[in-house]
Amino acid sequence: MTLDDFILSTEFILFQDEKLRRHACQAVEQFNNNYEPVDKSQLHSIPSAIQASGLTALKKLAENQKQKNTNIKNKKFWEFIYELIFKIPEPEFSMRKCIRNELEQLHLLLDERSADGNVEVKRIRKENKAKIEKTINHALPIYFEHFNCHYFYRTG
Amino acid sequence: MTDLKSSIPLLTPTILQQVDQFLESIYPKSIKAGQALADVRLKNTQIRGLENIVTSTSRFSEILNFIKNQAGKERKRQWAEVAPVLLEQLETLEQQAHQMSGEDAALCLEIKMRLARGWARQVVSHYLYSAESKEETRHDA
Repeated sequence: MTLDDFILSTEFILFQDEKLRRHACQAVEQFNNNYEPVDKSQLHSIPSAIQASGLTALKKLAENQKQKNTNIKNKKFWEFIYELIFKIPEPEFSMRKCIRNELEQLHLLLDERSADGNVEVKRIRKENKAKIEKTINHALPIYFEHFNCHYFYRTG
Repeated sequence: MTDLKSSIPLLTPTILQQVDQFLESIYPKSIKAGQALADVRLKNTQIRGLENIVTSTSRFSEILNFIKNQAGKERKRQWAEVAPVLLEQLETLEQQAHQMSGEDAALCLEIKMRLARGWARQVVSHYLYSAESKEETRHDA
């Protein structure tokens, strides 16, 4: 099975429907337990950025907000979003880690340990990163639907 | 892996029977949910909104997200009061779908939606019945 097969499969729909949902809900809980709540308007910009150009636009938005937002609690929120989606090496709680685990379980990532030398390790890392990001890009709209709705629900 | 291009799995008569039996078994809980919706005085249009989502979506989590979104955005806190009950019942349906489908993802998705639609019919019917009874009592008083 290839990555494209997975992305086009019903298993991927189920993965987005359940595992990613639970993951997004846990991420919201984690944020709420550790940071001050932010205004809902902060979250409203996420879906439109994703719709415009996926991961690239969201990265730009998160970077901009965490650097330029003058409100400290908003800044913390965007730092959290950055860690959740973009930080490498990925934190345990991140979406990237969740996707990596899923792809590893399906044997869709190459094993670094099988590499012969540093050049080969770098090549494998690059290839795996591309696969993870492609999957994230496909799952991102639904992930943030889960994240936003759960956040609205919990902070009502 | 089940390709999306392949057709939606046909539910066998045995599975359809299991779905019906399960829906029968949760009927008392569905009534409680319908009653809760009527007790917080949610309007017909809002309940129709829930019914429309359940009927039109092909993704189970869209129903959960609809309820969470409603609960999060309204000021009257009507949805917020009933959301925990609704979400818990929907999660039970999801668990049941897994039990019925085993490892088959396509079948699981299909069963989840069928259970959700059956559940919504039960909940909405009782809501309408209860809301109407309340209205009549109010007029009589």
